Amino acid sequence: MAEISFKRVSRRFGNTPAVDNVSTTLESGRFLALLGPSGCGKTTLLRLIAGLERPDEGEIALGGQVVAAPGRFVEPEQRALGMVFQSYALWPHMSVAGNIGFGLNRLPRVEREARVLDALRMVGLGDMFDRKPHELSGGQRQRVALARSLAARPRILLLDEPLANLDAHLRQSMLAEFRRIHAATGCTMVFVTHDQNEAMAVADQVGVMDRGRIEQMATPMDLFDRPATPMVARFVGNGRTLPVTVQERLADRTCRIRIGDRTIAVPGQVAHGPGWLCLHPRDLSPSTEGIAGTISAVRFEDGYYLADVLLDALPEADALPLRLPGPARQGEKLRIALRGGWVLPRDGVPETPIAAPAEVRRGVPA
Amino acid sequence: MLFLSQLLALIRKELLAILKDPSSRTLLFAPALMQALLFGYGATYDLTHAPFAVLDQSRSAASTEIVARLEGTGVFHRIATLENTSQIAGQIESGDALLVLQFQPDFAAKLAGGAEAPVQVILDGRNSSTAGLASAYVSSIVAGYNADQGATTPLTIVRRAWFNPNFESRWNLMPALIASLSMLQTLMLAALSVAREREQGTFDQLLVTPLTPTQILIGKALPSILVGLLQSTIIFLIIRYWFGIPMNGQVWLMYLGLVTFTTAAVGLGLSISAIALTMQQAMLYTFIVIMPLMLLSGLLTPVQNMPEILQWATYANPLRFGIDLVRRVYLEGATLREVSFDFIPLLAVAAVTLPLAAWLFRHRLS
Ligand SMILES: Nc1ncnc2c1ncn2[C@@H]1O[C@H](COP(=O)(O)OP(=O)(O)OP(=O)(O)O)[C@@H](O)[C@H]1O
Ligand SMILES: [Mg+2]
Repeated sequence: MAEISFKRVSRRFGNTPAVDNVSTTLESGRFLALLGPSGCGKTTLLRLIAGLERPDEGEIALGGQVVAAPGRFVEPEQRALGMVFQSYALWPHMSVAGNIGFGLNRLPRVEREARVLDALRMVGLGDMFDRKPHELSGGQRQRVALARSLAARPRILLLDEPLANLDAHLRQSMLAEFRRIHAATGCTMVFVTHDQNEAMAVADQVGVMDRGRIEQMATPMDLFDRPATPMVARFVGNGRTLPVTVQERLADRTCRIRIGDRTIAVPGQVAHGPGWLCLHPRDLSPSTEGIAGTISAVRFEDGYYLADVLLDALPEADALPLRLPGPARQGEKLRIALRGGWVLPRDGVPETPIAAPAEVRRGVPA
Repeated sequence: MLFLSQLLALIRKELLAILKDPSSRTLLFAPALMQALLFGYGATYDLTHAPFAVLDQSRSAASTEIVARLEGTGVFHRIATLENTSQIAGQIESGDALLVLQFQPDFAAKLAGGAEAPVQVILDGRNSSTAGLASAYVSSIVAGYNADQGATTPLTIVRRAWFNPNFESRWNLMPALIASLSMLQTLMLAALSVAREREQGTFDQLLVTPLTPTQILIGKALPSILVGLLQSTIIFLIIRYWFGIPMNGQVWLMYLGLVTFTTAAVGLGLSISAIALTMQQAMLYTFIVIMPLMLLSGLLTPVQNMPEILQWATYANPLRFGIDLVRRVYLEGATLREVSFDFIPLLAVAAVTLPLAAWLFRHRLS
């Protein structure tokens, strides 16, 4: 009942296309996380859904009802959706209960109060209803903002970087909260974040945006395993792309590629020609048998020594992130074994549709 | 019903925002109070001794009675009793008399015959505010005489101001303050109301709640109007009872004018607010707007003395008509019919700016 659908939607500010010809559908009850570099149009996309921006072109429908199209526009107050802004947007002179109850005037007093308490309990602030925003910590304010949008029981809940100002610990507990709330309310949720781990942890679908376009909308695993574009491959999970030559498409959904002096089989469906080999740290391991490379930098991270390794055969390409069991020196030679990875054609468009589950490709305009 | 309860919640929120903030709270009433007192003492310094001369060519009971009443106030001191009209100029030119009261030879006959019997008041226009006050006193005494004689006594006042032919528009600053002093604050308050929420980041939140722009408009306008009227009331009470300037007109009519005037001012303020992105911008715009409004109001320079183009521009200035209306009702006892023209530009400004503000809430030009 609260499906979100975009048909060729564009929104420009001057010459900047903030949202550029986006066509996509998010099924009712889904939890979508929107990822992308700063300025790629995530906020604008949310504001288009909320009705705070009008598309220059295209059509937006919510729950089957067209809310924005040429000659037609449903105002934000009639869209029955909740929005949590990055800045919390609490009214400073009203109590927590006042903030949450504001906008619920259509309800009888008793029910209104019940809703407010309900929402507060849901975010774990049951005893703070008469505090003022300035008497709350940042995380508590954030949760009040969330409670406010929940109290209205919206069919669609939009969250614009709601965890941006919280510490790592609070983020974790808030993420769990989001999942629980999503399960409890069944509303369609769109969650904008800069943090990939956050996005992958909380959402059942992740949309990657770049320069106003949705590059790919897929499950977190598919984003790793089968990135649709080189941008997605690089953006997601500290990925790298190496220029390779695809020699042959094989029957088992792999391709034979040539990289340096080696020929290997890698998942992907690309015909003969130039290609990108997309790699993540998990695809790489040090090995005596692998491809030759040189360490260009080392740092200690997450309990590992993480080396940037330049392949000797491709000195101009990206350095590969390699986890090492022990310390290493810059300039040291070693060999890397590849397991997995994903091949994309170099011009960015696969010759034939990638034979993957349908939803992998959803959100990518043909 | 729903409309009203939503509106009340919004008004409550707005009043809280105005009143809960200690700095804005003192700003609300202290300046009005102080300015009224300052201007009052500046303008009424001489009025404890208002020297006047009498030219009583009618030598009737009525004229004697009026002069006696005037002297009975303790404010007016007769410095000369004139014999003929040629003496008037000397009294005024030398500055010995602030005003000359003239009863023409046919005064008593007209009075007895039921015709209009004019009392001629010749004022020293160089000292306009004191002379204006003095003239207001004379008006109230004549009105009091009329009342005592029964409503049918057709005794009227004819004013002549020397050295300052436009005296009528300049005369007496004080009642003009009832409109002009509150205007700066009202305008500022309205201008800040939306800008504050934009800066706070709560305005978009307001837009996605089920409130309509009309409700938001009324909810934003009413508190500012109330505060403006309260300020006007404070100034009115100071002028009327602290400085004892007699009021000749109807209080309800003055308030009808003030409500209309304040609504127009608030419409202007809200339009500024809807354009401004920050509170600082809102304040800047307010000062940019308030200057021409003050200069073109007739408060300092008579409108008739302005270049024709500027005279036309004053028709868009609510302050001009607000001041004119209050002055004439307060000092001259003007009736609704007599000041009805003043309402037209005021209502026009309100009718343009209020819907404009509501429209701008959602379509701010970016
Ligand atoms: N009101 C506006 N006027 C002009 N340009 C705008 C406006 N809003 C957004 N933009 C531009 O549109 C583009 C997308 O902005 P948007 O805020 O949607 O990015 P974002 O993905 O949310 O970025 P971030 O992650 O930094 O919040 C940017 O280039 C931005 O400069
Ligand atoms: Mg953003």
